[in-house]
This record gives sequence, C-alpha cells and structure tokens, in this order.
Amino acid sequence: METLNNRLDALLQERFPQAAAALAGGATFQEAGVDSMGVVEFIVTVERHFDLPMLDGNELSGTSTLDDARELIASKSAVA
Amino acid sequence: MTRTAVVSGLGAWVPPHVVTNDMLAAELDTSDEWIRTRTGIAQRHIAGPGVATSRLAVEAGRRALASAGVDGVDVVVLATSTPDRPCPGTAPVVAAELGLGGVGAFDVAAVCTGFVYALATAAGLIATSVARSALVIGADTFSTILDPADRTTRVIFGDGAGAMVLRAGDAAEPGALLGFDLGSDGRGTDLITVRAGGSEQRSREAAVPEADTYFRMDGPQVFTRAVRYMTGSVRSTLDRVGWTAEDVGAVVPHQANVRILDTCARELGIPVERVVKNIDRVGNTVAASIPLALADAAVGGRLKTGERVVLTGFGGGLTWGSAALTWPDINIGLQEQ
Repeated sequence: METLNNRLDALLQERFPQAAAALAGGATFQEAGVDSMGVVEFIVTVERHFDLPMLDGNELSGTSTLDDARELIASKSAVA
Repeated sequence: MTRTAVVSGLGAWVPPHVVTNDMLAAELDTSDEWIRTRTGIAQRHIAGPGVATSRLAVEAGRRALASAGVDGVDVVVLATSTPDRPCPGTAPVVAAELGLGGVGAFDVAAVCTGFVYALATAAGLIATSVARSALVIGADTFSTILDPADRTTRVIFGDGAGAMVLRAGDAAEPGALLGFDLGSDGRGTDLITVRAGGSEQRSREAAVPEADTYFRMDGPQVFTRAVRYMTGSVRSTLDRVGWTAEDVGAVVPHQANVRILDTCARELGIPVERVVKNIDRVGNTVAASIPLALADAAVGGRLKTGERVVLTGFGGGLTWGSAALTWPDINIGLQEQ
C-alpha cells in the first residue's frame, strides 16, 4: 500500500500538479479544480501507470477522492 | 512486384456556414468557456438544408484532383457514415458528379477511422495492380444525425470533407504510404452509434423511439478507449515501418477532442507541438477530420517534403487505425475564400 501511495503521489505531482495538494488533503476532484475531462484523463493515466486492465472511464467522477482512486487501483490490480 | 501507393494530391472543403460556441450557448445549456476547456473547439462548419454528404465529397474531390493535376482516377473510395441514402453507397454519385466515367466506386464505413481504412483499401488496390490511381475521400454531414437537444454531441461535431489522390509509385518517393495498422472491437458497438435505421431495427415490428434515430456517444468510455487504441495503433505502425517516435515529424490524429489528443501525445512521448490540430476551427468532422487537418497543416507550411508523418484514428465500431507516410511535394486544393 505504501508503494501504491508513493507512486500515486508522484503521478499526481507530475500530471496534476495544481490539484495534487488539495487531493492529498482529501478534497474531491471537483473541489481540487479537476473538471470532468480531467477525471477521465486521471483514469487513463492511472490505467497506464499501474498497468491495469482497460477501465471504462466512469469508475471515478468529480465527487470521488484519492481514497476512491486508491480503492479502484487496488481492486483492479488484484484481478489483473 | 507489388507497387507502393504515393500521395499526389490533397483537397479539402467545409461548408461556409460557421456555428460558434456562443451560437450554441444561445439555444443549449452550455457556454463558450465550457466547450473550449472540455473539447478545444471554438467553432464548427455546418452544411445547410439540402446539402448532403455527396456535395461535400464532390467539392473536396474536385480540389484533390486539381491538386494532383489529373482529371481522372481508376477508383473512388469514399469514407462516410452519413451516406446520402442507406442504400446505395454514395461513392458512385460522387464519381459521376466529378465526371470520372465508369470507374469503380464504393463506400467504406468506419466512422471516425474511415479515412485511414479507405486509404489502406485504396493503397491495397494499387499495390495489387487493381488500380493505378485512386481518389480517397472522407466526408460526413454529422449535423444531419445529431439530436438537436443533445448538448454533449452538438458542441463537438462539424461537417466537412477532405480528399487525397493516390498513384502507383515507389516507396523511396516523398508521399509514399509505407505501412498501416487497422483494428476493431465490435463489443463496443453501443458506445458510438445511431441505433435505428438499419436492418437490426427494421427487422423488428416495434415502434422506433425518436431517441434511437439520433447519434449517441458515451464520452468517458470513448475517451479511455481512444487513448488506448490510438496509442497502441501508432506504436504498431511505427514498429511495422521501423521508425521510432523521435523519427516522426508530425502526427495527424483524428480530431476527436483536444484533451484526448494531448493525452495520446503524452502517452506516446511525442511533444504536443508535433501533433497537428485544427479542431478549434472545425470541430470533430468524423471521416473528414484527418485530411482536413492535413490540408490545414500543409497550407500552413507545417509539413515539409519528405518529412515522416503518421496518421491515426479511432471511432465507432469500435475501429482504429494508423498510416505511416512521407510527406509529398504537392500543392494543396482548398476552397476559395
């Protein structure tokens, strides 16, 4: 889990630097200023970065948080 | 010996009527800012009443023939998913209106990947000596199948046409089409679709809900698949022709959405400035999008003779595909301003 958190933090800093701090503090994507397309960009990035099976793009939304993202990655990694 | 298809002409045409984001915001719950930030689109061209796909295809085809300096070809391949009629194909009417005589003419239906599929088909006809030259056209009037009340699709799509002339030549010549990659996944047929109007619906006796007569698209699911399949297809094509991402001077993707294009560029490790975009001015023009973007880039001096270019598309079907070519030494046929 520690590794997943570190990798996710690094990914956020690189791809979503403006939203990284707010998301790490528990904000939703919407609250962190990530629009609907940005959430899908995040899903695509996570899919590639963590080598997950293809995601639908509907797994997270503006009301999701980083905890939801961690849960998604963990669940998809388990079946990968 | 198989022959290589070489690009010898390029033409493009969009209908003159421009619809801005503000014009759409006046009738739909949207705004210029929302459309620009989510899609990268500022305006699109829309065909008027009575203007069908064949008209657009003829205009682009005429300009491509003039660009190539020829008045005839051996075959016409038209990529469209908005044919003039469900039956027959639209290509024969286009060939007749262009005065091309009794040449072979047929449609290719691969939605937004249509132009790449049509190009691969025509290149194959030339490679096997079925034809010595071909007119490949991508043309769509998506405005005719959009739900007037659907803000998610109305803001994205525009009408237009683009065309290329191919001739038999040599792989070492500038303009040579050197490799293709094509793919599909029919399990995604519902993600980009007009449900009614085909044999599936007509074979049933049930009444047709009006919603089924319009185009529908599942945005988030299309986004993730577009990125995965376009990047995979570009990589396969590069492998096939022995190029690396660094070798490519310009990637000309189907103009789906600027956010999809930027994500693809990042995933491929290709600097965004090497990705050709004109979506801001024409929107997503479906099968016309790649040749329209090519024409725009070529006229702007963005493409140099001999430069390595990769075309890539993704669309309904699902379908995807890419093509690798070197840029030819040609004049471009555009509409008179």
